[in-house]
Amino acid sequence: MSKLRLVLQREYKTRVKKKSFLLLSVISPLIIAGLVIAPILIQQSTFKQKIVLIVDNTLALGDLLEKNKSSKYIHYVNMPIDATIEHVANRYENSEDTMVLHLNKNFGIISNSPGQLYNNGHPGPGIIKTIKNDCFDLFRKIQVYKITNLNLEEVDKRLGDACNIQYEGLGINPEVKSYLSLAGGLLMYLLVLIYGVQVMKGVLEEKSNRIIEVVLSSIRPVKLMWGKILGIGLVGITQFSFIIISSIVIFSVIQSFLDIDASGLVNDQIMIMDTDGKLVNANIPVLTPEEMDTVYAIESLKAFLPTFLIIMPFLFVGGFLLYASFFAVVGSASNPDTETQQYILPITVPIILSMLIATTIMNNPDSNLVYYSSMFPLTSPIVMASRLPYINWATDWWQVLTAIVLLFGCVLFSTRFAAKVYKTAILMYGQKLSYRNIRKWFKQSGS
Amino acid sequence: MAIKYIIKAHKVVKRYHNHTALNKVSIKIPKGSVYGLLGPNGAGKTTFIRLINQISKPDKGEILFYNKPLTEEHIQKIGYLPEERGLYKKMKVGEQAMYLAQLKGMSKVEAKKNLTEWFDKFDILDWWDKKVEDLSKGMAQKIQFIVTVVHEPELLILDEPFSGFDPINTELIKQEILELKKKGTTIIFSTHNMQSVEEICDHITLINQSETIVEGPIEEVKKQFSQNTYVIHFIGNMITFTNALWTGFELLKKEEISKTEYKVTVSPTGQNSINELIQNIIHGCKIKSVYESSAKMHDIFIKAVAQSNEPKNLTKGIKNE
Repeated sequence: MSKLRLVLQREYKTRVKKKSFLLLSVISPLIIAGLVIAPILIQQSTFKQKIVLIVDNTLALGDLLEKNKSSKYIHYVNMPIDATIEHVANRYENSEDTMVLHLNKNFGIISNSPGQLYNNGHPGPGIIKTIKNDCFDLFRKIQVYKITNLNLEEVDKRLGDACNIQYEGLGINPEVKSYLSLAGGLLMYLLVLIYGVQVMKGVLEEKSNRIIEVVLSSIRPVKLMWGKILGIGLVGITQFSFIIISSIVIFSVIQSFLDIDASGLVNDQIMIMDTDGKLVNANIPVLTPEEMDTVYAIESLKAFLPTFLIIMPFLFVGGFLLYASFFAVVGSASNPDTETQQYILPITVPIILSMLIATTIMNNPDSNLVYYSSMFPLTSPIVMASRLPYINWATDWWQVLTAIVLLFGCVLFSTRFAAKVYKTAILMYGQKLSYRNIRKWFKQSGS
Repeated sequence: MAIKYIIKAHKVVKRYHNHTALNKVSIKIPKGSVYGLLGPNGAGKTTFIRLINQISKPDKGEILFYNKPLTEEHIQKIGYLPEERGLYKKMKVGEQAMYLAQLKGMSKVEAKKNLTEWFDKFDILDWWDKKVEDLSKGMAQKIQFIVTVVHEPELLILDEPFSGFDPINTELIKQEILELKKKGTTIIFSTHNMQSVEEICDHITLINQSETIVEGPIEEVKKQFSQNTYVIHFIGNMITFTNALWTGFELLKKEEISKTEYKVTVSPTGQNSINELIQNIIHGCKIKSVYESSAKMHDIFIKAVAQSNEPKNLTKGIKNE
């Protein structure tokens, strides 16, 4: 087995076996999923379908409510025409889940003629509001049609189309896009920073526990450095894949668990009014706003996933190699008791700055700052990762390509620089870490 | 024809920035010898060892391994135990030993076999799954010694191998070194412990201020630094013995074993032979033994280093004036 591979394997295995690796890989997607699923779960666990019995004296609304507004939350049942409110109310007075709604004949016509809701349970303001809205929506459509002969269904359809223009043009729901942007930038930021610092610590560990001389009598310094960087980089890629795969699994589980049919999204939620002006059942999908968000998020993730999976590894590998080589320099040039903070700072500043720029992308994805910093090698790994959801592949593809080419060009220099400093500095004990010494060791190492 | 020297360094120069660590150092290390590499701190010993290990390269001159320039393939023929040695603390002992053995070019199976034999020999098989951080310093030293020799190197470089060992383990390691020598391993032994040099080295090189100042088989070096002193062990009267010294001898040391038994160290003041002294005392004293007192490595070290520093100090003084 080649020595480079041996070193790489050791660096990889020792890190992947750590509990912290498993924790981060499994827990982080769970936290993300938890944030998405928790509101739905909370709602579902506390949810019970309410039955609303309608004693309808308007002779129109009761039937329409039963047919058009019943959902998994409220099931409307229109009572026979001869049922009286006293009779029905008495019959269900001890039931908590069954309510009785009385609509008198002036309901909706005269303002001081409200409907009455009878119930012994605690329906909560949400239920009363939903019933009120359901009645209002139906009554509004009937009244508008009666007064103006205007078919509101047509109006809604037009409005619906108008709203859809934005969605279809950009592919992904803008809100989800902003989350993806933030998540991409944050993920890259964490990976580059966490694993970059690990390279530095790994190098310093070998130097401070004095095994370096033993190891260097078996393998050339530059090979050892590369083995370490690549091994730790692979840990990063593994972690990255772990997070992606477990996120996909978790979201799929959520999807099946909620039994959400995403095709329901394309159904028009507006009721259909036939030519007689009568509202008829339009198979309204029964999705709550929370479920709708989840469905959007899952659909958007699916649409974005291929881009993400193809481009992110390039950005990660480039970004990681770039920063890892700087971190390796600091690690090799330090001594166990050296205060490295001031030398890490110049490396972390561009990383932090990149993240700050990344946070502005969701509000202003086309700003000059974002445009240039997404291609500038020191900031591109994070800024471009964050900008990916906003990339229009038909016109902006060259920007992504430029960012990657410049990044890897820069990596060629940074790794060569690191290798030169590393091979001299790693055996220097008792010499303080300073820019002067780093320059000296760089020159000293020769070609 | 069999190759006599395993390492031949010819006029090796190594510079660091504005400091010369080795200046035209030439050393020949005979195959199968235990070669003492001696010198004060900062003399350039570690630099020379690093050059043999190819951790760094000489700026000038060359180092030959069996008459061939050093290449990467020679790495697996060399075992190196540095003075400042460590292990990965969080790794398990066995896992780590396997890693280091494989880095020396051994296959997994071979490494496992040899390591098990060594662990068994040192009776430490139950340490295999222990973490290094749970071992004492002495225990870790044993592991370090094993991983240095596990790949059966032809050249073994030991830099202060006994530091951190108790006397029992020092003896154990010493015996292992002699055992390896018997098997034909050449050993470069760098230490400040002159007693162990006398015990196990058969050749030495003394480096001071980046240059070789003494080199050769240990007996020859001792002869070279011999002070022409003799130890006489006799039974008799001390006055009789002292009277005999008029033949041209100086009494350096007297050790009274009993009232009538003495061990004395004498040195001729001129070109006199020890025979003359013996002829004069032989009638009054019973001689038990007479032998030439050879120089101790400790004294040779101090004397040689002092001598080598002298002319430079003088030059410095002249320059300053």
